[in-house]
Amino acid sequence: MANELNESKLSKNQETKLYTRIIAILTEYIQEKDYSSDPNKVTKIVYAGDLLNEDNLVKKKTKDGEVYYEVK
Amino acid sequence: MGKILSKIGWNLFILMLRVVGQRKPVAENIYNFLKLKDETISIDNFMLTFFVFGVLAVYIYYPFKLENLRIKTTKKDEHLKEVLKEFRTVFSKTLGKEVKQHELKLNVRKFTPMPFYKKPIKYWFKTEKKYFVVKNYDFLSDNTSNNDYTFQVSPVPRGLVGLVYKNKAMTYDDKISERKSEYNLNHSHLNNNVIANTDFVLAKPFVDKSGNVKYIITFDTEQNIEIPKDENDRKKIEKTMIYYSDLFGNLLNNLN
Repeated sequence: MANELNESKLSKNQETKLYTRIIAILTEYIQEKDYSSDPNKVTKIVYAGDLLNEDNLVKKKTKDGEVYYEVK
Repeated sequence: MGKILSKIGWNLFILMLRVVGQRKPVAENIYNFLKLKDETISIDNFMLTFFVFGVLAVYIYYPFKLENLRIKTTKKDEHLKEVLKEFRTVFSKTLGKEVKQHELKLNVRKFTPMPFYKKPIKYWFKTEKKYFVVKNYDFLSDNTSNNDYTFQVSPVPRGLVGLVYKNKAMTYDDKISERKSEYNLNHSHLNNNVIANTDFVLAKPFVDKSGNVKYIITFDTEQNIEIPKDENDRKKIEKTMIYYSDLFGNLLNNLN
C-alpha cells in the first residue's frame, strides 16, 4: 500500500482525501462490529483516572518494606 | 500433509543415496539389479556417484532452501511493516480527529516478559519478581531512546504496563505524567523521566488461554490529548481504541 502511494506520488491533498476515505470506511466498520460477541478479545477498557483514585487503591508492602499501591 | 510426506520422501531419498554410496553390499545389489555389469561404469564409480549426489543433496540443497526461506520471511516482514506503518498513520489520524488533535502521532511499542538470562544473575531463580521489557520498532515510533526500559509487573505493578498486567484490562490515561505517584515508579524510572514527558498512553494486554499475559502493546504520545467527558463521545473513542489496538496486537505478533 505504501509502495503504491509512493509510486503514484500523491499530492498532499490527494493523500488527505485518501486517508479521510480510509478512516471513514474503518470507522463505519468499527461502529458495526460487535466486540462483545467475541469471547477471545479483551474488550474491557478502563480509564486510568477512574481506576487510580483513593477509593480504588490499597496500600501494600513488599518483603523489603517498600510501600506500593494496588487496585482493589 | 502432502508437503510433510514429500519432505519425508526427500530425506529418505538422500539417506538412500548415502547408504548406496557408502555400503558396498547394498550398492552391489542395486548395481546387479540395474544390470550395469556389462556397461562401462564400474561398481566403485557407481558408488562414488551416489555418494557425491548424497553429499550435494545435503550441503547444497539445504543452504539454498534455507536462504530462499529467509528471503521469503524477510519479504513478508517488509510487507507487514508497510501495513503497520499505514495503520499507525490511520489510527493517529482517526484518534486525532476524535480528540481534536489533528497532528497526532502515536508511538507504538510492545512489552514482552523479560527472559531470565537478561536479569542480573542473583534474580535468575527468583520467579516471584516478573519484569516486562520494551521492544521498540523504529518504523512505529519517533522516540526509541527508551530501549532499555523495563517495568516490574509482579509483585509490584509499576507503570501503566504493570497496572495492565495486574488487571488484564485495556487501560488508557490522558494525564499520565500528572499521576506519577499512583504508578509505583521506581527511582530509575523517575530519574530517567520515563513518563515525565508523556501525556497520553493506551495499553492493551494480550492474554493466552491459560490467562497469562503474553505481551502488552502500548500507544503513547507527548502531544496533549484530552479525552472528552461526554459519555457518548468517550464510548466512540474507546471503540476506536479497542479496534486499532486489537489490530496492532495481532499484526505485531506476526512480525519476526
